[in-house]
Amino acid sequence: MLPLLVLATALLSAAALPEPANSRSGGILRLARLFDPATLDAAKVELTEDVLLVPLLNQTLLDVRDGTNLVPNAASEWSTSPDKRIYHFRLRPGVRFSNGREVVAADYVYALERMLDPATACGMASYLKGIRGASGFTARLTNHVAGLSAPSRETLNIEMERPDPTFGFILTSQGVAVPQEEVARLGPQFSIRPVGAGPYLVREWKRGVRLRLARNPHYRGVEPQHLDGVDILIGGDETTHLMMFERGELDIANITFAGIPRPSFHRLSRDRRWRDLIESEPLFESDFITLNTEVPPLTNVLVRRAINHAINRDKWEHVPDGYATHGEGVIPRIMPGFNPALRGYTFDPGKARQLLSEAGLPTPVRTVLWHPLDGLSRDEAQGVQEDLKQVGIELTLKPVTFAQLETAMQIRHQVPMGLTGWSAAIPDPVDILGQQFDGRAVTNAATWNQAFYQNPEVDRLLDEAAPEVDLKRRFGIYQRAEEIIVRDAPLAFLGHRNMYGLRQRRLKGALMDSLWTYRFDRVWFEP
Amino acid sequence: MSPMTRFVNRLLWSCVTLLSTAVLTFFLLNALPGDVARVIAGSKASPEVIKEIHAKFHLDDPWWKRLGFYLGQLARGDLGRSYVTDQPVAEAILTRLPTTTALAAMAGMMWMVVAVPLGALTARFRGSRFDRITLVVATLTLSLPSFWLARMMQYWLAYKLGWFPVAAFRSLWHLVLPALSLAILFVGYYARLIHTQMVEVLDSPYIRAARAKGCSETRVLFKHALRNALIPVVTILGMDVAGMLGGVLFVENVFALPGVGTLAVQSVFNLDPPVIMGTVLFSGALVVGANWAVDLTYGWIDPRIKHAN
Repeated sequence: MLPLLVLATALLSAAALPEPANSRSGGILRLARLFDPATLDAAKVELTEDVLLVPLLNQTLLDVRDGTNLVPNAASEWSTSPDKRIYHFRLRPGVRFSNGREVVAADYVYALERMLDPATACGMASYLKGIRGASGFTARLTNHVAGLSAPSRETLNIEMERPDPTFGFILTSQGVAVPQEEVARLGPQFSIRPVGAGPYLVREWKRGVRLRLARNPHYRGVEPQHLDGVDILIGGDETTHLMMFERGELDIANITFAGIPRPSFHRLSRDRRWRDLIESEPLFESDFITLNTEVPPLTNVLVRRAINHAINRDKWEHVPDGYATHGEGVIPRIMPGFNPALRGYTFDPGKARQLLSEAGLPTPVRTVLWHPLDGLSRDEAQGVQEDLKQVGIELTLKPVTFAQLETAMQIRHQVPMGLTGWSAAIPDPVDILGQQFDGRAVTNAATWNQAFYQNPEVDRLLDEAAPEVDLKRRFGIYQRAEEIIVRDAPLAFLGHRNMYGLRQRRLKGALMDSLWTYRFDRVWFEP
Repeated sequence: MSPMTRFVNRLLWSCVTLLSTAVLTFFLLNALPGDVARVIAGSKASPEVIKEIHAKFHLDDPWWKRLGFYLGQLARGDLGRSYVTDQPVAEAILTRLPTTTALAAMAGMMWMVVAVPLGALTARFRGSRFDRITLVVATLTLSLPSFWLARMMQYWLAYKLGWFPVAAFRSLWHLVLPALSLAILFVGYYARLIHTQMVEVLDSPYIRAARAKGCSETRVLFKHALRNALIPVVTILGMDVAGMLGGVLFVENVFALPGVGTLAVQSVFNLDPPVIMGTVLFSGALVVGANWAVDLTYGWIDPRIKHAN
């Protein structure tokens, strides 16, 4: 099959790789996180903080730079067929697992099949469902995924059901080799002491106390092993971690998705010790309030539009302070396919009142907003409550844990309004639009379409866009879909989050990343 | 009632208490909206994965079947496994127990060292400036919420002045500040309690008799009076164990201590029912155990109670 392929992507040579740091001073990177990782097994990782550990312990087939540029990693060369249906990878020779065994293409076949196996409970398996034969394998009709093959030790082929120009990005997080013999040997312990090909391995994980990573002696990768190890304190909260950082006990201030706590940010940005070390990164993320289109009064599009007009979103998202980027729709400004011409809802309480009057509902209109417990979300929810009250909508606030919110929102008729957002795993509109607005996902089963939004025209456009390999045309279709979604207002569109980070002066390298939030494998200490 | 009958009776009621705690927690967790499978696999999990998790943890079974399974597990001494980390709940609690025990013991020693003499001395010198100042300070410490006090002490004594480590648990020294913030909460209350009891006891005829016999004031205070004054204090201490656990929970979280409190908080944020139920049940067992301990201590403090029993 391979000779028939026309190489559509130029083979990338090592010369095109980012230049590694010249100085490698070693040292232990000291971090802190709130809780233990749920797992260290890359196939099962789900939480943002756990995902950050994946590049430390594993070497993915491809990597991504500057948010959108695919670069070789464990695969030294890669190419796709012109229709973006078949992906061909040549593995970098000499890449080894931390147990010393050489990584071969069959390890990727095994790893991808393991992720697709529902028994593994891989939350990201749905991103792999486009591989030919994946659905049959998942339904246990076959014991092998037809689209995965390893013709030689160093060659891996992945065939998709239909063209997918974004699959390379999925492999930057999911393309992780797994040694089958170690999974069999370690059983559930593989989640605690995984064997990967990354620059570090697990030295010690004392639950609730610390996680220690040490150098993988067999590591051969693109990125040098800058550090001697990583020491992660487990426990405490953001304020405690920030105090520890300021006293020099940690090297990076807050590695949560929220970054530096906002009340502290103002103090730090005025402190000459820290102000020039604060850095920010726009994320592939969209903040919004989901409006459940099946729950009255939100079944009425006029009410949903009135809510959008009533919220002073730039104020509550702290756009003027730089915490977020102004948003008109759901696709973030930094994402390919962003539509600069899109116009959403201006802050216009008069217009909101008029729309409510047209809706003919008795005032005040009453509904409930669920929101996460953290202070940031609480402040935002209270701000929205205040805005909506001005136009005649009375909101009852329901604070819940994030886990409760996430799960409750996927049940029909449960959550009228939910303060939430979406972090894209790949820099393409398919991630943010295809998952949340597909009307066919609205069944009695749990769904990502948390607004329970249905519009056949949007479904048609999503189907048309997903396999489109002409990027200009692809993005054009997604932009049309986004326009319809914005018009139908299944969400109150708030904006796109930016993250602030802070590190010690002697820690160098590209730390913050739009997709990963942080990359600890790329930093080093100045000697 | 023979001692054996009383013991069996007490044991039975303890079991009923723990069983009720287990059942109540089970129902409360079941009343929560949401799907635990979504928490385990994440918001982006496919329906197949969700279905698999439902099957694995019997989440689709009727409530009575799951309750029966859970109680059966408990009867075998098995608290189950965490849905999120797959760690056995008993192991998770036991690995964190030493930290919580060390913290509670250190805090207990601190308040005992301060509260007992303070209560006795303010009773001895009641009405003095020392007594009045102590009363004001005690009232102040009574009013302080544990999370606020812990944070303030961390901020001033560790972060600003650098006298203590900010957080983490690497040696006993790391426990001093958390234990101090926990102890302060109880010192004021117990100092006043001991004070009140001592005032009453110091007016008793046998104390006057002891003084008349020429006993030293120290001996009168700490040998004759204190022992009797401690009886109600011990009762309240037993009842306060639950409240102390609440304080431990906050303090452990602020100071990043790997104790049972942080485990409980983590399980709530993770919506991890086996761990939530395990930690609640463990707390229940502690309270029941503390009440048993109080009963035993009575006999030691006041032999008349032992003889009457």
